[in-house]
Amino acid sequence: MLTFTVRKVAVLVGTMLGLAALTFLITNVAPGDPARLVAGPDATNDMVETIRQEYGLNRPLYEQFAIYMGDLLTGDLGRSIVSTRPVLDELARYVPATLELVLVAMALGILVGVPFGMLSAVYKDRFLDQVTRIFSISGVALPAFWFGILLQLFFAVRLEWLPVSGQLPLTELPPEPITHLLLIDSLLHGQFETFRAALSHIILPAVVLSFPCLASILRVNRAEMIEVLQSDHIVAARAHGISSSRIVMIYALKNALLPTLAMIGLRFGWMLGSTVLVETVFDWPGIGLYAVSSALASDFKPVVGVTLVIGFFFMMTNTLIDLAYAWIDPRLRRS
Amino acid sequence: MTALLNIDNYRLDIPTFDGVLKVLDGIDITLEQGDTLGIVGESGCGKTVLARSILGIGPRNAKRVSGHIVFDSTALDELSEADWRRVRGVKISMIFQDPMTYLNPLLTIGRQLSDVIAAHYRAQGKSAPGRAERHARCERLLEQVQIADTQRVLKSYPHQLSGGMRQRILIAMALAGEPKLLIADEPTTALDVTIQAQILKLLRDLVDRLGLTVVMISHDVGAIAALSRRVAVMYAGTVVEQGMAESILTRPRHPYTRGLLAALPDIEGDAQPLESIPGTIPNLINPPSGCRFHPRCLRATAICRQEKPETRSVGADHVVACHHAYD
Amino acid sequence: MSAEFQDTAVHVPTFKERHASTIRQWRLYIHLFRGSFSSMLGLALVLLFLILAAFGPMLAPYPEDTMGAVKLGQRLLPPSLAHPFGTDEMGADILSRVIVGARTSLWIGLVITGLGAGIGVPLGIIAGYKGGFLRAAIMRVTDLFLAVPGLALALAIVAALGPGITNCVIALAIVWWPGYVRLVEAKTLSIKEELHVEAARALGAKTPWILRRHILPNCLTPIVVKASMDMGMAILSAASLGFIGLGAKPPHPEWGSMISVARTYMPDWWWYSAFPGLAIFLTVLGFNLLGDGLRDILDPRSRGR
Repeated sequence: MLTFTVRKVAVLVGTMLGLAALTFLITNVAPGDPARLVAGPDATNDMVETIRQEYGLNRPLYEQFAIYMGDLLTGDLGRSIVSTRPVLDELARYVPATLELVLVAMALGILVGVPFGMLSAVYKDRFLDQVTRIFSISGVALPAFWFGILLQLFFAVRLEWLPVSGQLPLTELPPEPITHLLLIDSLLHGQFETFRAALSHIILPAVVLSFPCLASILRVNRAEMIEVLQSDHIVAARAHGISSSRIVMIYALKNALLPTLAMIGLRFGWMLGSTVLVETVFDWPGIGLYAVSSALASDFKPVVGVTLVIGFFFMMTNTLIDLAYAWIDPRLRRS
Repeated sequence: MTALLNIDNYRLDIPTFDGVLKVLDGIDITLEQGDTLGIVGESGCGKTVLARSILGIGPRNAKRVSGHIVFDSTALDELSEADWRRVRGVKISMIFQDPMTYLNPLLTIGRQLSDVIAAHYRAQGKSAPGRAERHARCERLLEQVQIADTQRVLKSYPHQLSGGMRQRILIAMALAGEPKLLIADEPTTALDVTIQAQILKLLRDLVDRLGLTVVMISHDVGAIAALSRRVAVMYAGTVVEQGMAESILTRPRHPYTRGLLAALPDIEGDAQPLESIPGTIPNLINPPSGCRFHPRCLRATAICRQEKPETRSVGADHVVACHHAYD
Repeated sequence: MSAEFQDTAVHVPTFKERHASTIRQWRLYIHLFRGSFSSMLGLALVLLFLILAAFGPMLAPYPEDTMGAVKLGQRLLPPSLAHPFGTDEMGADILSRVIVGARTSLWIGLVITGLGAGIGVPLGIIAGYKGGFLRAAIMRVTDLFLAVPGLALALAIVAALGPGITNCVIALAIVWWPGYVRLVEAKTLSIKEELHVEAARALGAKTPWILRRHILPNCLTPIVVKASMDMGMAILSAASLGFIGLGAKPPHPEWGSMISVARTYMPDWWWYSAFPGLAIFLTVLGFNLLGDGLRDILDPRSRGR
């Protein structure tokens, strides 16, 4: 297991390097002047020239690449034109909010998707199953931004149960950061009012973000459970007198978990990408919103930064899932 | 002595897209305690469906049209899931053809065995024994099937063990509940010839030592002959001949049985052309009228096409279903 | 003695008999498909979409509104009989714009999926069949592109290229091709090992022939299923980029960018966001259901359900 882990981590590192190279490619292969791209559309020609000198954009490509990689490895992701602050600092500020949102959404997706997928498989073709099937297929088709707007309209405006946007109401002060995750920090400080406020703010965006993930997890889990329940070793287990509930919960679920895990990994990626949409709709102060506002302002460096961060999180999750795969299925440990 | 297992005029249908498969057409089989019965027939004759139906794990959409299966005075057709848990593995057990696919690849052998043991305890309303006790029982079970290196095997996963070993483990799992009846569905088909002999010998030992009643299903006449005292020959969902193995194998009365035995290549003697039964197994959606074998039978006449033959006795413990049985 | 030649009744098989098994297979497919409510619903939605895309301008009640109107007297009217979807801030009829938007979406979906498959499938076949260094190189690059979730990568590419619907489509095509490489490479690998390919090779068949006659047809099923589901997801992704503001520029009738403008008129003039979004949802749903239904019938393994 150890060599397997080491190998996977090595792949992770390699991919991150490759990703950095890819972002370099995007910046330089894109039509248009890279210096102008960095300087922004409002820059004068002189400013563009200064940028060109400063960033060494007149040097040969491979030199630029070396500088670029060097910068990245020291954590220099450039500066944002709009705020003039280093991109790295701004990322550090915005990542926790996105992280919190994604974690809550993921938890929702798994905690609802897996059990309902199981139930759907066991009660196949009955009413529950039909409902969940429709739900799971529409869940993926639902445009996240549209869904978010509708939920806002309904729950926040019409019913006024939940706030429209943001992470905390303006009247609340955020707790002293320990984990930088609002929900956990407010609990750790015992500030229950803050916790309640933060919770009510996170519900709608988390639901919207989790929806396609939930739907997919439900589908895959249901499909895999159905298939496993028909497999030979389940027949044998029944023949040996093992109870149905045990068969479903332990035997079948363990076997069905693998493709479900794979789907979780896939959906996590889509979810990370969807943060740009959900954070825009709900004014959630995370890296998604940061990327969008930067892109609209033609501020390119932050966009690259966000892409790298998202890529990193995605890759790391995939690596963790690969490790989990090998832990669950001993047959995979050799590869 | 009342029979341990009595299958009485059992008819089973399976609906499919193309029509209704009349898979079992009036099966009559009787089995006494301590007996060994071999059910022999080609692929598709319904023997596996029959075996699984006994334990209630047959095809999901299969419909019992008529007849009963009675085990030890209990009718098996009307049991609830809770009742079945007291039967499966505890009174009747089953071992399967390909031990690789019939063992859960993600759990260790020890885990699977001990789960089976615990399940039997719970089914009988007792609480499951502790880990140490279960571990000891697992070891005893493995020893019973002549596995020596019990510690290593218990910690292993199925893919790490050989085919013969896996089959022994399946047998051990089947014996965990101390059943009276063991159904072996093609237990040797997926194994190499030398391993086949070992498994058959093991089964023989278990019969002698534990007084186990065994039903063995196979298309391999040799395996049947090695283990079974009594034989039932199946064709296209019907039992065409049933009785003492010695009697049937030396003096087969039914044309199909004759053809089956004649088709076996003879390793002794001079090389001879292989005989085969002309034709193919029938379509079970529209099975042949009357006797299902008549389209392929050299002795068939008009009555064979019109009437299904009755089962007649032709000797001590030897019955045949044929209008023109051999003498 | 003259030889007698009778009119031998040689049985020449009819078309029906020669293709009996194929006919039966297709009958089974159609039967299964018809029996599935969700698949038929998907088919219906997709057909509706295609009709709107094809005949949009003829079906729109106010065709002059499609590229934006200046009817300020009719701004932001709620849904009514005259304007079933209401009007937008320039007074244009939203229903007409939604109908015409179908054509834009169809074009977007086709180009993205077409380019993605057009690049990805050949690369995948080469990678799967040739193996060795070529395969390693192709798969490494593919893995790299798949390291970043689609929407995020597309965002970065569009940010570099500049906003606009063409750049959107290019960016998304770049995001899409790796998926096809993965799919086709895996399928090619497994087909390569199958006996009919080995037999062909043993009989001396050349590589292009094998690729064309053996490998490609067997890959088609998963490609078709993926492509039909991709149509929906590509349209959704393009609409998402449009929503952010990086897609089509107004007054171009693209559903996503319509919603991005509509957002500023929330919540009072809700219909402006609601209906284009509904159109996106139904279209994507249709393609997903259709793709799902196709997979159910074309992949016998999943038919056990």
